[in-house]
This record gives sequence, C-alpha cells and structure tokens, in this order.
Amino acid sequence: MFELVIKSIIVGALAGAGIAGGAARMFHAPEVQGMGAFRTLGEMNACSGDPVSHFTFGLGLLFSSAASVVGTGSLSSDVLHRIVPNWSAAVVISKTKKKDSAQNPFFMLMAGAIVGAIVVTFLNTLASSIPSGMAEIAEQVVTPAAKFILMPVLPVAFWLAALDAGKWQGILATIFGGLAQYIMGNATPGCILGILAGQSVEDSGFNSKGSKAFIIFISIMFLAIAYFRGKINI
Amino acid sequence: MMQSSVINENVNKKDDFKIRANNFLMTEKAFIILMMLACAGVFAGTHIFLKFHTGSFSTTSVTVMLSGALESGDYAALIGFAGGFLIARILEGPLVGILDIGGSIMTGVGTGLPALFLSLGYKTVLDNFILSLIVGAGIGLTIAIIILVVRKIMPSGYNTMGTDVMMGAGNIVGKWFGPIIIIMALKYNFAAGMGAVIGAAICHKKDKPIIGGAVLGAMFLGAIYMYV
Repeated sequence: MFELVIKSIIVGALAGAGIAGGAARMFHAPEVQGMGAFRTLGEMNACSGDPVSHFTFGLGLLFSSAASVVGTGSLSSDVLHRIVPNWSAAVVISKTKKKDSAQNPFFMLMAGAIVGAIVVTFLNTLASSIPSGMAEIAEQVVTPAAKFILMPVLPVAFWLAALDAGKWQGILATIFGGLAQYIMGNATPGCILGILAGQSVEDSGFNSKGSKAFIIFISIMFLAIAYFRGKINI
Repeated sequence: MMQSSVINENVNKKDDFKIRANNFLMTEKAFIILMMLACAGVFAGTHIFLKFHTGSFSTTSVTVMLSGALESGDYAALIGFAGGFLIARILEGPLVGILDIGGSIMTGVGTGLPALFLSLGYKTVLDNFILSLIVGAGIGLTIAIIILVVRKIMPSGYNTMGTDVMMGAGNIVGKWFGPIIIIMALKYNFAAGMGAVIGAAICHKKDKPIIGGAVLGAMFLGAIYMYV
C-alpha cells in the first residue's frame, strides 16, 4: 500500500503538472502549441472562469472515474482531460481572484502538480477499499458502455461529421476510414485523417503541394501499418 | 523606511519570477518539458497498472483491451489501434495547434507503446518504476520534437483545418455516452437501471451532462439492491 501511495503521488504530480501547463497553453493556440482537446477547451470556456463551476464539473467526473478505476483499473481519460484542468483552474482562479488565471501556464502547472497527485492517489487507493459489489456493477455497466462507444459510436460520429462537412472530406474519410477499419480494426483514425486531408483539398485544391504530400504520407503510413500487422504479404 | 524598501524589492522579485516563469512556459522549449512531464507520468502510470491493476491513465475501453492482451499475450490489435491513434494525433496536433492528449498521450503512450515494448520482450522497461519514468520522459521528448518539426515545415494557413468538424464529432460522442450508460444499466438489472434513469433526469434538470448522474445513480441503487 505504501509503495502504491508514493508511486501514485509521483506519477500524479508529473502528469498533472504537464497536462495543466499544456491546458493553459490551449488558450493561446494555434500560435502556441497547446495540449488537451477541443472538448476540454470548450468545457473550460463553458465554466467561464467561475471557480465553483470548474470544481463541480470536475467533481461529477471524479465519481465516474472512481467507478471506472474500480471496474477496470483505468483512471479513465476524464482524470487528465477534465478533472485535472478544471480543478487546477478552480484553484488558481480562487487563489488569484482573477478570471483569466487559468490561461497562465506557470500557475496552472503548479496547481496541476498538486491536484494530479491528490486525485491519482485518491483514486488508486480508493479502488482497493470499495466493496466488490460496487466494482461488479461498474464493470457490468460502464465497461460495456465504453466498448460500445469505441465501436461503433466513435467511428460513426467522425464518419457522419466528415460526410456533413463536404464532398472531399466525406470521400476521403470513407476511403481512409474503410481502410483503417480493415487494417487497424477501428475506422476512427482513418476518418480523422480523411477529414484533415479533405479539408486541405477543399481549401487549396487536389493538385496543391500540401494536399498531395498529406495524402501520400497517409497512404505510406497505412501501408506500413498494414504490412506490420500482417494484412498484406509481399 | 529601509525595511519597507526591502520588502518591496522582495515582492517585486517574486512577481518578476512569476512573470519570467510564465513567459518561459509559453515558449517552444517549454512544450518539450511539459510533454516530458506528462509522458513520464502516464508511462509510469502503466507500470502501476501492471503491478497493482489500478492507475492506468488510458481510456477505460483501451485499458480493457490491454487487460485482454495481457491475458492472451496477443498485442497485435492493440499496437495497431493505439499506435495508429498516436500517429494520427501527432500529425493532427501541430496542424490544429492543440495536441489531443487522449489519443496521443493516454492511449498511445499509456497503452500503445507499452504493448509494443511487451510484445518485443522489453518487459524491464515497465517492471522498473524509475526506468519507466525515464523511458516515459524520453518518449515525451521524442514526440515533442516531432511535433515542433512538423509545425516548422507545415505550410502556413493550415491552422484552422478541420477543427470545427472534429469538435462537432467530439461533441456527438460525448452526448451518446449518457444514454448508453442507462441502456447498459437497464440490461444489467432493474435497480441499477432505475438509478441511472433517476440520476440522469436530475442532472438534466440541473443542466449538467447526464453521464455523471447515470453512473452515480446506477452504482447507488444497484448497490442498495445488492446488499438489501
């Protein structure tokens, strides 16, 4: 138990510091390379610098993360995607009393290290003390739901978004998505690359240097992955 | 008089340090450091998962896949999926200005690369905590450099490419999660299902995403039913 606590504090502080510092940089993207997700940026904007909103949003997700860690051993992506950025924002905003403190990477990095260490240690030790009945419910409810999201909801959502976005996005997402489904077992990466490549074709034409380079790069990457996964034999 | 000027100087020094630290953390060099911190933590998190079966930073579904692969010893599907995701995110990150840490760090560094190391027989990398921190930091360094290089060679005007489309798809997925939790809870048993329904309804009334309420409700009523 002692070993688990010490390791959890180290791991949580490192990951929390990096992610919270990167999240603050998101507010200055694309000029500065940020880390997080568009989802995270949108949610942090939705809390609009109110420390209570940031905190309660994170708290709700702490419970579902606890269910996930009990059921599967996964802290769930919510810990780094949502709890750490939002709780760090809550800490720095209430400490500095300035709404835009969450955009300050130094403050966020310090807060993130503390929040990360506490949250990860709490979840890792809570898991072993929660009754097995609760763990079973989490495993029977949350795990199949997460599997269902990964396949087919995730690829379909990106596929539909690509079809709605335009002709080229739809065509390329369909081609790369279909190939990714066969090669990687999930169409999502192909659909995302299809959207990006399609957008590039739409913006600058099929014969532009950028579009061609991008599509050739994706094709080579797919061939390499297919080869290493034994889907094609040369 | 003398004393107050000393205090002022100290206050100024403190503020000065904060401003300088802040300016430094906005530079490209700092991106490398942030990536090394995050990847070291996440990669060593997988060490904790292998040892204690808790604390994986990867998404729930990907962690389930890792557990399955550990049992069967067949990592091929996992490496293909998580590796593909990692490469896609590293490409996309510099293009849109925000690196998606879900696909890149949590899934790629937390599961894909560990699966690759395990399948190649480099189990020590994950067995030793200190070594896992060092290897994780090295992975972060490598990914950060690739991203910064892509940013340098990227044709200008690509910055907003596809961003709206991706955000839309991300939102759709987030919305699906709540109802699916309720369906799975009802498939499990009536008590957990009703708990999920009530929890979700309360959250919706309060303008909160229903997933939190659905999970909490299912756990709460399901546990009461189980123990009574």
